[in-house]
Amino acid sequence: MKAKKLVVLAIVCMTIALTCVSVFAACGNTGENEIIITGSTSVTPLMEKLAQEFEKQNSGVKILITGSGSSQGIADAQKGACEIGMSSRALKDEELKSLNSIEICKDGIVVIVNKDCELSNVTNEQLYELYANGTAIGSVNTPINRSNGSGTRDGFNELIKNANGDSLKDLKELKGETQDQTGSVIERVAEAKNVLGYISLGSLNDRVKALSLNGVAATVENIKAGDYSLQRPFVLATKKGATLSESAQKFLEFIQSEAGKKIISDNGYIA
Amino acid sequence: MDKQKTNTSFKNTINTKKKMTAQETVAKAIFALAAVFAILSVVSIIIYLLIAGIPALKEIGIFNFLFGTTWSPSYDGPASEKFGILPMIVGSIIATFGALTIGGTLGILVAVFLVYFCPKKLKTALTQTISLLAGIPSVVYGYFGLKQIVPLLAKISPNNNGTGILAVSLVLGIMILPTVASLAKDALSSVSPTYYEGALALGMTKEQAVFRIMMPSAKSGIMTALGLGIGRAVGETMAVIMVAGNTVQFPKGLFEGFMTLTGNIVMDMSYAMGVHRSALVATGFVLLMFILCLNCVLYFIKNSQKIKDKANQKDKKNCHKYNFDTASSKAIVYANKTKLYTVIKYICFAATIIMLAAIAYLILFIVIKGIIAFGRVGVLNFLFGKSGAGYISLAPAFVSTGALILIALAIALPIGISAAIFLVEYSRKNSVFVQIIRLFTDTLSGIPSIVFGLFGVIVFNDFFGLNYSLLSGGLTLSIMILPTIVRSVEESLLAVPLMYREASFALGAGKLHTIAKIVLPCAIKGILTATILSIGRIVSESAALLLTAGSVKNMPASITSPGSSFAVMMYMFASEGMYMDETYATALVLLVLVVIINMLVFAIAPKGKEKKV
Repeated sequence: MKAKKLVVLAIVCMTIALTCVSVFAACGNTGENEIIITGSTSVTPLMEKLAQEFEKQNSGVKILITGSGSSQGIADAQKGACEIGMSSRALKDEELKSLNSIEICKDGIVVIVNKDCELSNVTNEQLYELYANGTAIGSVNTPINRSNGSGTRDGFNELIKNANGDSLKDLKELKGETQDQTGSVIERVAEAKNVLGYISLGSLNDRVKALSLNGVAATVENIKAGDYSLQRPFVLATKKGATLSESAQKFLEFIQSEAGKKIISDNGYIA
Repeated sequence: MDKQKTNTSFKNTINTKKKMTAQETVAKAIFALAAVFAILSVVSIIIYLLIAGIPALKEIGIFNFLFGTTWSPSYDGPASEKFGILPMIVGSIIATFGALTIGGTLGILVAVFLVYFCPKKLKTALTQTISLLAGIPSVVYGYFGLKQIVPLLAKISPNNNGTGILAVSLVLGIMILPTVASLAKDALSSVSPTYYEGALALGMTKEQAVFRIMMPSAKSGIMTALGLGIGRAVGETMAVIMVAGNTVQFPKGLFEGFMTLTGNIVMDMSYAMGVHRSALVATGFVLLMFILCLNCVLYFIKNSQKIKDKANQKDKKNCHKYNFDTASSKAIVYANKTKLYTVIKYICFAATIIMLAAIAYLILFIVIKGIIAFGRVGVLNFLFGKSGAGYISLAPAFVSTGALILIALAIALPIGISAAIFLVEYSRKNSVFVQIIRLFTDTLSGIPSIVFGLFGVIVFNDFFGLNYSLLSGGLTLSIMILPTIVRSVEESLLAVPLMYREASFALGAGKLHTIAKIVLPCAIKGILTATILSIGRIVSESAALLLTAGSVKNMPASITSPGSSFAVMMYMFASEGMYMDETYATALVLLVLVVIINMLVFAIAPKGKEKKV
């Protein structure tokens, strides 16, 4: 009898495992009230603030945010792996064929160094030389890049030019290190005196020191006035043709509403 | 040998005399199917990675891919993209070499100390410390490296930069130390003590006997230990990206940033599309091929030793004569080198002290920082508080880790136990089939977690459309823990005395009945140990989960939702830069979990027989 039971048990276990796999594979979509958002780590802190407020107003709705990089957000939105993709760069023409783009705000890119670093200002040319050729600025000899899929990297490389107007974007290889998240740049800069990195202005905290660029401090006022040149848009991407869930639609409306805009500007972004 | 013979002949009589009932046949078929599962897994991992990697190899060309020196994915068009992985291959090789120089040497020295020079009272404690070191998650090692080793190295570095080869070698060195030490220890302990006694009898000093007789006799085992150390170092991902600097360039100095194969995969995989993505999978395939080759080499080393052993056993007299001859001649030649070996003995002692110091440093660092951090974030609030957008708490990690463990065990435990039953109860010992299954099980256990991650992404996330989900992560984990379960349960089944089975058969019980009522209950401790070891592996896993289960900080709603385990959560805290306290607190939680798991294994495992790492 026991032996029979063992066989039955083994068969049952395997069947359950197999059915579980196939059933979940067949309907791999998540709950109705979950909104999955992935993409830029620069947009993530802002999105979390917006989501927090939205969840307060709409109980039962859950917003799942994963920060991984702008290109991931865009790719996920195209694949349907997320409902809303976050990007810290404008979408390319190629991407706009399959995606709707909603610009929610502008954000500055701020150059940061260790708090004990003697620098307080850098120029465009100095940054270009540091990233292109490894020319040290004072005690700083190692620049930190973001990884390839980052919108902040795209923005920075496009905007940093030398006297001839060549931008970092046109170079095949850049000097220095690479980090894959906004936070890992902060972490690395906070630990070492010889490195320099760039992050979203909204993510700046007091563990690192922000540098002025060409004598202009990275502040909301200077960006609004157009004096601080290192800035790019924050964009949300949704798939063309796909119908958004009701809660996702409501969330997008909330972000663009006055209440949403207030949260955006309260957190140091330019709505 | 005699026992085995009786076993086989006995089985044969049973099989011929008593016709198998239908039920027994079905059971055997199921067990056989489970046993083949390891082979299926390895083969499908190779095939799927190859299929997903081929587009890139076609587009780029195998030569340009392997020997190209530029890696620059671009979004302006495929024309300007270049995917050459040579700098990363070189980076991986150098990092592994560095890790082996540090961790391999220390590991062997520690093993020698442990087996021959360690006071008996300290042995258990030291063995436990080594297995604790093996259980600490790589994220914790990485963060320790980033926070302590890198700043320390920056002070002595000529360019004030701490990241690079030296940092990676140190971190990886500590990580492979336990693997090398515990396997080398097993190898040394399995050398026949008569060699040692004989050497002493011929007038060698204790040190000479150890270094001239015992070490050379355990050569193949020590080589295997180093080989598995290499495998672990090559496949390590998360700890490496935290301290390597991650620049795609040929490493020019000890303090220049560089990139490894694994680092490149995990950093780019999340957003890569098209050829870029395929190129990353192909990178994983290169890594897999490397590991497979390494396994083949190890297999041959093991086999050649077995053949030697057999030859020795055939002519025992000769064998001993030979050894005593060498021993005596060596004793004469090296009699005046006593000092040298005494020095080496003290070096072994020093190596052990260095290892203990490193462990103490690591643990004190995590415990002190963790306790301070818990004080700041609030214990209850952080462990079980509100989670979701804008709130930080570990509550989701408890749920996610639990779900991952349940899913993985629900699948791997039945399959693993069935496979072990087939290997021990239904097949002839050392038949070709059993050997093949063992080879594949070993291969499976040597595959780096990042490769499992890639496989999970290709099969579960994309092909089955599971996207980032706990289910996808759990399925991936179930394949990862399968070899641990098979090997551990197999060992415990083998330990059940043959007499029990004979008695059961003699009383008229069928084979299945015997297995269910007699053998399995006796082996329950082994099954429990296998389960706990698997849980340990799941708790410390991060790279594969990051790719398959995602990295949200929210509470998962169902098993189709994404979710982060403790290790992934810690990596996310660490890499978001704003959650230092949370990172340390999570590290402390992980450390406590690892200690608990180690203690459980110690308590359950049969006494006098330590578990392999």
